[in-house]
Amino acid sequence: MTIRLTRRDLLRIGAGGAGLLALPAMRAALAATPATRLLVVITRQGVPYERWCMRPNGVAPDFYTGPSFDEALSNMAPSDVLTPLTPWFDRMVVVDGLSLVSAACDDPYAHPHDRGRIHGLTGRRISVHNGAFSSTGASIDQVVAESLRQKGQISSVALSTPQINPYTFAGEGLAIQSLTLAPQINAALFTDVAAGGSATGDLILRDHITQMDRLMTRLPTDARWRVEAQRDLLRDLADQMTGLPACTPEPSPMEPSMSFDRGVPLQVYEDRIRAAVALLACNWTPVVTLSLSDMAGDAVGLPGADLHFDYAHFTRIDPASNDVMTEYAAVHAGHIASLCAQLSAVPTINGSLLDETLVVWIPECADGGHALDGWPALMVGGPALRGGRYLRFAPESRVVSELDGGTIGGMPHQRLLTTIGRAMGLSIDSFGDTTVTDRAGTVLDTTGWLQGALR
Amino acid sequence: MLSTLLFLLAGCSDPPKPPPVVPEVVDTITPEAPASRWGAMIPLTTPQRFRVLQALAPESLRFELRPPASAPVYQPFSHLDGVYQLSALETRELWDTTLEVFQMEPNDPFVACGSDRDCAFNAATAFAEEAWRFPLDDEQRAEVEAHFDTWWDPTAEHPGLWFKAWAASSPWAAFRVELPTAEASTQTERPELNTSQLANRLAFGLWDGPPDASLRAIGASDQLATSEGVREVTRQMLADPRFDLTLSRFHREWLGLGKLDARSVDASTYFPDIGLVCSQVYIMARLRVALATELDLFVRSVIREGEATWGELLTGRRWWAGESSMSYVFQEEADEVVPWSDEVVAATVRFGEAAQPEQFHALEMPEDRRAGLLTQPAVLTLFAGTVQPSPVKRGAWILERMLCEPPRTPPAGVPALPGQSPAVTNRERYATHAESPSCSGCHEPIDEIGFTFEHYDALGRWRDTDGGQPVDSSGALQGTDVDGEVADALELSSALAQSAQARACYATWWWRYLVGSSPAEEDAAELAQVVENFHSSAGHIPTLIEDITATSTFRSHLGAP
Repeated sequence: MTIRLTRRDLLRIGAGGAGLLALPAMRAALAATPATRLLVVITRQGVPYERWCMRPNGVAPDFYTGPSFDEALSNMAPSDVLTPLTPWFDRMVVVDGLSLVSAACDDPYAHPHDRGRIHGLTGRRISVHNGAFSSTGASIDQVVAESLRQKGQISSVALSTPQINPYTFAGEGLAIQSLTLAPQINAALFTDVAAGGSATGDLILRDHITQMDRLMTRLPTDARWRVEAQRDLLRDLADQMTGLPACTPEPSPMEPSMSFDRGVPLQVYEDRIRAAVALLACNWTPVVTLSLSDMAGDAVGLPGADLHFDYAHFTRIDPASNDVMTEYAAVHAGHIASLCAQLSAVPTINGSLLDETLVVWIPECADGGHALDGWPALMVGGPALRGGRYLRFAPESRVVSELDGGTIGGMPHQRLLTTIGRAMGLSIDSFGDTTVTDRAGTVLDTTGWLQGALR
Repeated sequence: MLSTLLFLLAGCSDPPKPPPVVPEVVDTITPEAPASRWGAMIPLTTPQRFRVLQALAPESLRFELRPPASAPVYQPFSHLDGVYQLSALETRELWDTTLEVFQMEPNDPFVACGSDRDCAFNAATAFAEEAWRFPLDDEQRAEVEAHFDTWWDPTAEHPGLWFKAWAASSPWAAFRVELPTAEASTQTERPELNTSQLANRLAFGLWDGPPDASLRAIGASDQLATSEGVREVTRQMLADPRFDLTLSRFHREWLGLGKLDARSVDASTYFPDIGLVCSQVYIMARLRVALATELDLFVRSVIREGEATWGELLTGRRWWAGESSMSYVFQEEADEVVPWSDEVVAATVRFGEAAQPEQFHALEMPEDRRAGLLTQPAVLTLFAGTVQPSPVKRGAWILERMLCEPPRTPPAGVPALPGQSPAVTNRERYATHAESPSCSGCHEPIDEIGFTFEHYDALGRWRDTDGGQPVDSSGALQGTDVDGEVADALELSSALAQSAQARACYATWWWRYLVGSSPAEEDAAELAQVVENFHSSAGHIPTLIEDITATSTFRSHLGAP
């Protein structure tokens, strides 16, 4: 599958005589091994763990009692959920054994959805701002974006389907709002302002940025962040006026239903995926987060069904619901496969865009029953991964959860976030909160990264 | 549009002016200055920014300006602590619109000035005062002086365009800037706002928009120097139609109506006669907007034409119903409603790209079925599945929003309820909660409130039976100041109307909305007095708002000692 470009781009490429070599994604050869683009996909409803994970020799999986191992994906039969990703196994690291331990041990008043949503990419405790749950710090995608961002680029873009609770945060209380509808995405990214440029507008906006910096010094320190956030938006806008590469992806088509009463149709997911790939291919941004939520029942043969309330909640206790949600997760696996195919179809000097882009797929909660242990994750693409591996980390100990006083074990997911950071070139040994303290006072170390995941 | 504008500008600027040089402004704050304790810069929301632009725009263009449909639904009270910031998209749209407005201005005073610099400078100063919404002090006057020659271009077709774009998008315009004097910024006692800042706080609090010329003049006088003066001005502002914007926004955010956009119901249950999926989608989309509008109109009637009390808000039956809800929600009650006024409100219901006219009629609801906010379909449909309502969500919402007693979050691993069945009532499905000791501790006070709404289905329609049996809507209030059994949602509403706890909760929500932050420890005494007055005024809402704006907290800077 290839990116659809506008007629103007095709003419430009053709006139250059170099075919697709003219794409802005083209750049100098990588000097080192980190990826230069990051694409994080977050899905809802989790996955049925036993239908997602893989085991050598077909041994029945158990999250808590199974051993650790580092096995070639090619040596194992694909699981029900991961089967659509088989063509990309050699570029992929599947991580089995993670849990959102910090989320389980956090503020007792947050719902598991909010715990997973906020801890997932931040690895940090939840904060509350006037009753709304937020994060106490930045998420990994935003830290990576700051490190990769070049002048003239948008630092990051969050795309989603409706149901827009934010997953990414620029700092404490700073939720990144995603673009949810085709008209928004088109207006924000694909209109002529970005391509047209405006020297005078740029000067005015930069004057305001200076003014904000000056006024901020007169505020109490803890009242400055709101102004900083606005200032950064203006800076992005000014940069876009002068700096975005002249590559114009085709705007998103209007969607069949703006209200998505019956869940999100598959073609909307496909459009978001296409927009995400185009943004990276055009080098407009180095980081895209893509939230795919609330798929319509049609995708799993249940038109009109409320998959969240009628099936996902019963994943663990009802075999029929388990089957439905396995199929649901496999559809999302197909989305990841489609992303890989589209990224690999964009040639660059290093091979393809997939060779430069780390794609990460994580869910909000581990499964449809709001579990926070057995949190499935996989990474694919980029130059840093030790591709083709299935890494299983057996839970070594358990801590007491704030949710129900039960126990939860598994490798702290902060180590995945640290691994992502390292794969993107960050020199970090930890990310998010470095320790988790449970209700019983047990302290869990969350530092370090996933051994065996990177070259 | 901007590209067109740039093209026009490029073609019309003759002779071309040299590239502007942005003047350097010397920072008057030294790094050694002690950190400020007080002050805030509160970003205007997108609708507020548009209202500012409307005020600056020429009369002929004002009706053309409307906030973008893509403006997000704000989380409750998010403008206070900025949980949601303006997005990059909104920033861009605001910038584009700013340029469009001033490029199209037909009677630009800058044009009349020709090359007379003094005339143009006076026009620029007047514009900046209006855009920034207060009389310019020395600092701002110096700023205008420093920038005027940079952006004024007497040779251009629109000589003031870039100055206006600069002033209208400046931080002084895009934020509500509340900076204390340098001396007051480090004192331990909370310093008072100056009267112009107070006029702005009143305008954005009570009108959700900028102060007009009259209010700016009041801000420049000493009318707001005393609490009695503030109370008097507040009274006048509450009588202004612009207060309707705040009434709507406050109640929508307090009740959580932002979630209405994500609500849907099972079409085969609720729209069985509508065959086409697109028609079902259309009806639901239209209903979402219509139901929220009905709630707006009800609140407005209570405040403007009724007793304006907390009690009436919870028990009033003089409602407004649109054509779509009469067809799909109130059809069972259609024969029992009676008009209470001949007035008809014509509105345009917008959803997505569609816009449809809809008329709302003044109807008195049947006394045994509907009374007050809690039985409005907009509220009832918020907390439901696609087929059946959720007593748990309804009960938890009452505890949180009406009584300020949010229940604990459910633990993980909660076993699922039995599936829905035509032979089982909704209430029976939740019987597990009462039977299990591990559930009942938390669920009993929640469910017992939620069950009282069982006469209303997932769309807020009235129902006498459920699962083939008569509806049992009995319940109870527990752990409140009005504990006791209630027969249904009407009795529940009456109990809450009498509840001092609920009145105090409502007063605290208004406090947060108007003051701009949650009550701090040092605000406790003033808040207690406000609540006490609310009780003694029989829950009179305009009095509550006057009492809040008259407090020293409202009249003072945000921050912490």
